[in-house]
Amino acid sequence: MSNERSIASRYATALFELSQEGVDVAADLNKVAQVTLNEDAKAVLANAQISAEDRATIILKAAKVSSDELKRLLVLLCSRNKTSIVPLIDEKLEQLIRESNAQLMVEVTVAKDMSAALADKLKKAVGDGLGKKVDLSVVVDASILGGLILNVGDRQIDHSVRGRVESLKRTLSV
Amino acid sequence: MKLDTAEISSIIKEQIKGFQASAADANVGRLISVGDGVALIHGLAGAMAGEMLEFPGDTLGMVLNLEEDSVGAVIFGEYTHLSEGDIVKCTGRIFEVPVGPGLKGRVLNALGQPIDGKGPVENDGFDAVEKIAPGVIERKSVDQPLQTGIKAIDSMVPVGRGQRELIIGDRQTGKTAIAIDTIINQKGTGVTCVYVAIGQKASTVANIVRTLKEHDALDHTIIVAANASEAAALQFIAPYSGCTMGEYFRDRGEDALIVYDDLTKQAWAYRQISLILRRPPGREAYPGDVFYIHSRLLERASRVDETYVEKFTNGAVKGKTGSLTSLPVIETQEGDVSAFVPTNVISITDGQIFLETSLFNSGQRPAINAGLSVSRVGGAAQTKAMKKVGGGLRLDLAQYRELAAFAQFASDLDEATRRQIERGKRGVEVLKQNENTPQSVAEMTAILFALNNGDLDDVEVNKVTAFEKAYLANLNSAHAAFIADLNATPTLTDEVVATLKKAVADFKATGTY
Repeated sequence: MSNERSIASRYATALFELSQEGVDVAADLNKVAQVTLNEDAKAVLANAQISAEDRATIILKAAKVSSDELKRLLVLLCSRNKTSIVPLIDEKLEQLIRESNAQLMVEVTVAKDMSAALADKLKKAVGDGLGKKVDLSVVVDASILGGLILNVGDRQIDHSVRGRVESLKRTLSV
Repeated sequence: MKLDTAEISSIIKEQIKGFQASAADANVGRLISVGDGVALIHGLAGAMAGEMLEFPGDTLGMVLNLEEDSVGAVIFGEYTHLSEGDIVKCTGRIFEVPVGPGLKGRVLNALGQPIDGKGPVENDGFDAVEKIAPGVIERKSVDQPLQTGIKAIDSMVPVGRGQRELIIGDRQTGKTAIAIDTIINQKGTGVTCVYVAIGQKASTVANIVRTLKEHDALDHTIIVAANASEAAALQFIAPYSGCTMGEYFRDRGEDALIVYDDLTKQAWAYRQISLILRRPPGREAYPGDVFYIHSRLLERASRVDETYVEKFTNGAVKGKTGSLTSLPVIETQEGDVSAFVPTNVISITDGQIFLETSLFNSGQRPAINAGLSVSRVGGAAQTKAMKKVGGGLRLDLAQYRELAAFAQFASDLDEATRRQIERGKRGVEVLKQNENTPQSVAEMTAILFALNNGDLDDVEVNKVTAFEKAYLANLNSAHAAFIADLNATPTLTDEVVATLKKAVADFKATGTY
């Protein structure tokens, strides 16, 4: 699994460099990645009786995408039996593009759905704090009771009621 | 201990008052896979090697592998409640255990948590489990004896404070018994003992705890147990935890003794973890660094000089040296000392006590093979009296064995040979010693002096043990002051020699054996 991620990051870097040269495949790759998660598509991709070329064409058709670069990528992956890493490539490519735009993916977990105005305010506050453009996604999880948890990459800032209760519990049990 | 409710309330109040509910900023990652006590985690960008990790459900782990985009970690304890995608947090701390004098008399697990049901441990802070051993400049040579209380060891393979002496032998040859006897003999000497049980049956550990308690030896002993049923990660880390607890005393100018029982099982646990982490297997499927796990552990046993202690304690302790003596145990299969782990540990340690099944079965207990057992540095630490009475013993026994084998074919022997064989037979008898009966330096000196002086030559071989027992009892009652003096200054002066000669002659005249 870990190995697959590092392989995927090689492909993603290659695609990213291509996109810098003006070949943008990110949006199309996302659609293809969705398709490859489908069970039927997986069966097609794993079928060695169909030529790599044909398998790539089928997938692209299913994704309603026509891109020579993506086709060549899929042919390459099919011939190397590595089609399972397409979603990982997509994920990594998105991350690379975001990094190059000085954009940050921030996930905020709240107990109750928050208003658009409040989300905007939070987005601005986080963006100012980190000095980057912020892509905010909101997750609602009632089990955190209140407050919020911010996830920025590998960093987690926990300001939830649950987190505080847990840390109080730890203090008392020492 | 009885607490009144008002006191409990006030403790809780203090804890709540001191509690600050600030936002927790943590470095996190997500579990990719988990199984066999090993987890693979994506993320954790800032993780350090050896860092403590926090899994959901108050489970702890430790980082072992740092890879390009993932982290391999071992989980300490139960892992079945973890699932893919769970959040794993860095704690920012290298793995550490509680240390301090409050640990004495307690039974702890490899994480330093109490498992004896006596409530929380009173510790003097925490200390990192993996530490670098003191350097060359900070060390002092071994020159103080660590008395094991076992005649065969103290006379022939003496152990010094700060030494590493391996106890090696097949199963059921009395390896643990030697270690436990040594711990019992440290009662009242100021030496703190740490007994690390790795991969043993819980019932065996319970027996050891009971034996130590029966001999009042638990009060100066810390027991660290990673039993056979516990995770391999705990069995791997337990010796390092124990060593850190022992180093606390060494660094403060005290003496400590640590027993690792046994390192074979620790190597097995490490092999298991390494194979699951997909590290390449080498000889006997052990990973490439199996030598290093033992060498870095045993290097931490040392005698440190006064300057080191003074610097460490910021001048609070002056003019005192500290020591950590270690007795690692290795179990061999069918006496094969040339297997991978035994050869490694033999080469690391400053000598070995070699126990043999055949000797054990022939009734010689402790079953120490006098020919193969050596102590490379202990000679400098032996007391003067023991050096004198025990000096020729090794050679005499070796000559006796050679002659005894030869004598089986020869019908009539000359007088000198016959006498040497008879002396050897009595020497072997004298070295026999029951379990859990350590002897003082004076007692050992007295009986070995009697042997060397030829006083046992006219005692029948099968009566030597009875003679020894009665003679020592007589000495302890009739010459109590002399024995106490000899224990305080163990030197064979002319006066002491005269007293010993007279005592044994007087005792033999009574004929009460």
